[in-house]
Amino acid sequence: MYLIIPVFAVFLMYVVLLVRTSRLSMKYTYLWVLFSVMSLTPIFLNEKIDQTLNRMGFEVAANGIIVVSIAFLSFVSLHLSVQLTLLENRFENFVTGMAVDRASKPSNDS
Amino acid sequence: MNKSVLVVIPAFNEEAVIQTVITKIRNLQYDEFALKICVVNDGSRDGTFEVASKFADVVIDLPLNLGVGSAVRAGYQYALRNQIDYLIQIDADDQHNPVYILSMLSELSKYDHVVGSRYLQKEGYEISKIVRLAQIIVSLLMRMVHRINITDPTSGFRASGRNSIAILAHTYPTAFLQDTIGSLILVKKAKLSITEVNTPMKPRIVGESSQKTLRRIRLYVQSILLIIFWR
Repeated sequence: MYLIIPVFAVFLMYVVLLVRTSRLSMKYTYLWVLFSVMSLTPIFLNEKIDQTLNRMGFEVAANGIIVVSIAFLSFVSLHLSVQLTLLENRFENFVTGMAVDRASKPSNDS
Repeated sequence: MNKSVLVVIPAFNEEAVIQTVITKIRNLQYDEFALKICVVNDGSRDGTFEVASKFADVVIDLPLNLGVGSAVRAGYQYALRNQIDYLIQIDADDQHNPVYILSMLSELSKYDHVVGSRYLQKEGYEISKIVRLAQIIVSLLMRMVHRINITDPTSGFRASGRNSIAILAHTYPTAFLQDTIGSLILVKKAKLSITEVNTPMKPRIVGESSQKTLRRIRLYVQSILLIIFWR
């Protein structure tokens, strides 16, 4: 199980690299740091997580972890859709605004 | 003083017909209106921009194809910025008959927003049964959810007064199909008045529709969700 640690260490290093090369904005980085931390938690808190998930009604703890992972990744997808919509709106407003500006200039307005 | 009218024609690759449409609009008698024709070139890859520059009064040239909703929104923004009294929105494919612009303008003295309906009287326009069924469902939902009683809420032949222009210049929805339906909901939510006039439409002769049937169905499903979510 401890073999997972280097995998997520590499993952985190890749996230840092993306930030440093401006391919990933800092404001989205927290999601992936959170993802890495959450993924490592079962290694260190194995028994506690088992007990908690059993109390929540999951007979096998792995099922609970899958449900939590699906919920988390759904949240990430929704978050990205929201950001994409915002970006799309800004882009459309910018392009139409610029085109209207150009058309409103007296030289074009015969 | 004559009321100013801006006729907005969103155009994407309509080089073959755009001149005909502009000429037809210009040939009408607008005694009490000062008319300006505005083509919004939606990133066309043919000669639409060149033809429009020759024949239209204003050309808004979008540097890339953003879709009909964004093109119409640009027209509304131009109208708001230039304090236009009335805005007419008409398709560039020569399917709408510009003769009805006059009846729409006369309705604008009583209403804030006028929709040119293809289905107010049964004449002139044939479409696939699936699309018609989807349109009937949209119409029914608009009536039930938003109390908007319009036979053709997806029509792209519209007229707007100053109040309607002010609302739609910054909020006009940009997604295809949701632009027509969403704009009606926005006008209604702003407590403005809406009516419709009969505007029979002819089938497309030049070029082809940008929407395939399966894509249309998906767009109608999205529009139905929009009607419900914007309650």
